[in-house]
Amino acid sequence: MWVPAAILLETNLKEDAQILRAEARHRLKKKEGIKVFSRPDQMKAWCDAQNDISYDEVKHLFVDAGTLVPGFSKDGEGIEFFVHSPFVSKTKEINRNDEAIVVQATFNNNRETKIILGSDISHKVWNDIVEVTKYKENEERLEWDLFNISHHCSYLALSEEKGDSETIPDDKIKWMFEDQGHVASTIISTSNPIPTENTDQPPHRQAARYYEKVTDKLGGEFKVTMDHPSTKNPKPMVFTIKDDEGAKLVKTLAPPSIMIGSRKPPRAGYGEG
Amino acid sequence: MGKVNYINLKPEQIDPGLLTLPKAIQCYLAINQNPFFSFVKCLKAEGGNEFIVFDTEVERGQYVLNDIRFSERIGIEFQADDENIPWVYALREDFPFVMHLNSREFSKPRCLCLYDETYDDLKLKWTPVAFLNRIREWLAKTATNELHPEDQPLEPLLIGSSGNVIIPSNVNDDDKLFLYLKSKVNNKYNLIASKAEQKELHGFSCHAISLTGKPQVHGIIEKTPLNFYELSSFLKKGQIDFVKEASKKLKKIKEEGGDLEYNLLLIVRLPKTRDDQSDFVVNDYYTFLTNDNIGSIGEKLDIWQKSPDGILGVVYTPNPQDDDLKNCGVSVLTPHTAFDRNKAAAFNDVEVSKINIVQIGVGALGSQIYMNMTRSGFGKWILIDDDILLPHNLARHAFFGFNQGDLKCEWAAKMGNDILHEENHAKYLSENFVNPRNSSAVLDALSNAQVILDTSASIAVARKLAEKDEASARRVSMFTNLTGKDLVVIAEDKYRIYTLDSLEMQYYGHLINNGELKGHLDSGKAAVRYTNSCRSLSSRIPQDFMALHASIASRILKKVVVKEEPLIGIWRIDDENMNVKHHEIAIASETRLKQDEWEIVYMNAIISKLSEARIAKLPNETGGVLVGSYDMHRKIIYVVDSILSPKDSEEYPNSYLRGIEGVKERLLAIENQTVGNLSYVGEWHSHPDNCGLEKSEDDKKQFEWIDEQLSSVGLPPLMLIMGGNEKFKFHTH
Repeated sequence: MWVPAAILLETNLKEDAQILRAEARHRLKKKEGIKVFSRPDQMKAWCDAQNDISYDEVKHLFVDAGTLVPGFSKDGEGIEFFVHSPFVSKTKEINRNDEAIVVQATFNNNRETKIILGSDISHKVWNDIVEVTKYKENEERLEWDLFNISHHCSYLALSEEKGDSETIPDDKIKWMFEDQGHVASTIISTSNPIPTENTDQPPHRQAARYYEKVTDKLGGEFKVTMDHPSTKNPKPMVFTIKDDEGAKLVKTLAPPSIMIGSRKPPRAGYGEG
Repeated sequence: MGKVNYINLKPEQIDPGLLTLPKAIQCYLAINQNPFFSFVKCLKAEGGNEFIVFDTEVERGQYVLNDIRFSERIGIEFQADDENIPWVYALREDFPFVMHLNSREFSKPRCLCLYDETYDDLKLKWTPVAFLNRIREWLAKTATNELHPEDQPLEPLLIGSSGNVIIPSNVNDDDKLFLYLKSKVNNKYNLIASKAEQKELHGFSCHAISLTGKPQVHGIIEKTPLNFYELSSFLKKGQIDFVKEASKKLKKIKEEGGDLEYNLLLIVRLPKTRDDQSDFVVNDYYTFLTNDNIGSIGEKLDIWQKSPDGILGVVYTPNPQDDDLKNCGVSVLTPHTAFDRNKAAAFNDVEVSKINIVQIGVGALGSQIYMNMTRSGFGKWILIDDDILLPHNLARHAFFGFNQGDLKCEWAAKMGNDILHEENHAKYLSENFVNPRNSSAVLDALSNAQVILDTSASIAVARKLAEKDEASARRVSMFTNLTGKDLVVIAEDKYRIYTLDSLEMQYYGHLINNGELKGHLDSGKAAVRYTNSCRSLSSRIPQDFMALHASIASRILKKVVVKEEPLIGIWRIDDENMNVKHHEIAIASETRLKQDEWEIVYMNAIISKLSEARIAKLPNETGGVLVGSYDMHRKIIYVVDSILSPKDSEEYPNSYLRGIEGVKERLLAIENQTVGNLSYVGEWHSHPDNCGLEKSEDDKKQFEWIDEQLSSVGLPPLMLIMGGNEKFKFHTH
């Protein structure tokens, strides 16, 4: 279980989030099955306030931004995760979205396929990430072959302004998408199909328009999860990562024997009543 | 990636509802149901052909070897008569020139070559979904260059062939080729080009010339050339100066007095390497038939000119005009390189083998095994047989009616050489192997052999082969039983430690101790007499069985020759359900020893068996009967089995009287099961410890008795005395 520290500290939670928090706290106390991302001071205070653990006992379970997630390596597991977010912040109020975990995963294939998982962070956090990454001269940590964009294709992940037909991203974000994307890369929007109308809730067609322009330029594709392979019958997206081919979205339907063989057909026959 | 330009297909756009061709309608519906396709438009040509244009998503990775995009626009042309597979076009203007394209009379749009089977075969399993998926598979695999097998020609198949021509596999530019018309079917010529003149064949009034290009990595023919001009521009890429080379060859034909009324067959060889580093060269062949005769072609090439009185004058500085070259039309013939050993092996999925095999006996089983081996390019053969083919042989031999009266071995050799296009795939010796007229020729053949195959079905041949002589090659004997249901393969080990004769004894030994093979040596149905002589009997064995056994035998032979171990195997056909059951007989260790005038070959297990029986009866003596066989010609006694002391025997500490209870029955059964090949060969008895292995006075009397019994039928006496510690001694004359 990977959780941002915020989830352990947040108060006034409801339902799902409350359950998540309870599970995370439980695992932290058991000192296993959990990695906590970032370590704000509140976290230390919280730990020490508990009867059954102290911060020192669990501090190895915390992962800081700007480091690799322990337990994974390119040589061993074939993958490494570089943490971009969340940052430690003393002053900011906790915003669950902006405290979300953003990582870049790098596979140990010939091409070193890189995937950025953008979770739900806003353009402000992205600007910070780009700034810090550049400052640390870690630009390769923002390179990507697959980009799982933030917040279900919300324009707020790109800019404060939605734009009429297209969201114009902040300059730093524009650099990340347009200069850091590799050839024939894919941008993935984990969202409902892109609407043709202007909508309040994401996905926003203006943001999608921008992403399409990016992949068009790279010779890649912009893909929406709930459109794959069709809006009517969406299926999980599966990418293969191979040595020479890089990332490839599987676009093959299961053969009839598997499809039919693993499903019950509807009732047939002459029914009465 | 910029804007993508698509080629516009010419026919008129129609509403999909107006499609009439069933396959077009099915594909249209399938395209609309499949998430990876998006329909663009339908078209209809004047002749009734219908087109569907659509975009398809390609399953490709980020990195591709050929420029196949994530989305490609495809056009399918369904033909009104449905006689040819629908043409599939890649409509992107800059779609790459890759492998597996059909070469049409235009180079764009590229026309995908999707299948390597005929449309008639494809129709049987046609579904629009499978067809559309094949297009996507073609695109996905072409992206990564995975579509072609290693041996796939790099050049496209030219469409619109006006016939077939079979050409020798090793044709050189200077070879003179003779062309023969074998058949003309549906207005298409089927020709054969041969380096040797074959007067019995029907000549084809055409001269053949061949041209070879420099090795290339890529294919160079983008479309089917229709005339000399197009041919010349393609061949330039293969570094052939076509006009110059063709002119040279035409002049030569004229100089040699060739008929200028003849047309020209061009054989173009384009050697290809898979990539820059590859040494693997394949030859792609193209053959073209000119529409004009050589006289007229020469004029168009400007190498000679016809004077008003019809005489051809030589032009010293030819300057052929493009328009003349364009007027020199050609049609495509599909070339087929001749069958040879390499192809035979490849098609049979075996390694090429030139192992020297001498085969004795080209009868029903032998001829069929040999032909199976030949068709798989296996072995270089010398066939020994002095039989001629008689009418009744046609029931089961691999020969034809016109072979009646021919020497079997000669015709088998001829057929093999003809099939593999080799002069010396097989040679023959018309000799009786057991009593050859030219024994040095036979010995010579055997001495150079790596395997000697006995398919004579003659024990005399097998026994002669078993001898240790100058020929060191392992012997393999293959025969069927009399009913034809069982095939027997007996193979010596590579070093000839186990020879055919003793392995044959082990095979008999197995028969008498194994109920499963009951009836193996039964005589079957009464034989059929094929002429008046007493020996003119031929067994009643279905050719179905013989062919099946020949198949097993040739397959086993290929396996046996690469192994070191000996083998005894029996394959039995169940006529009810045609199952074939394999019995492998474990090879027992054996010893050969010289005893007086005789060689005695015995299975080591017998000694243990007798020793155990001796110990069990101590302090009394015990004994029994020895079972085996003889080779009287070579003075060998084989001891294969024994019958232990019968119940009514009298066993004392210093004497033994063998009883008779059950002995006759057992011996009869043994003889019956082995059709007399195993029988009584002598007696054995034990001595107490420390009593030596020499004959006692009593023993001498018994030995004389044995001698009396056996000498009356001309056989030698044999007595074995078994002592302590598995020590024993055979006594004979």
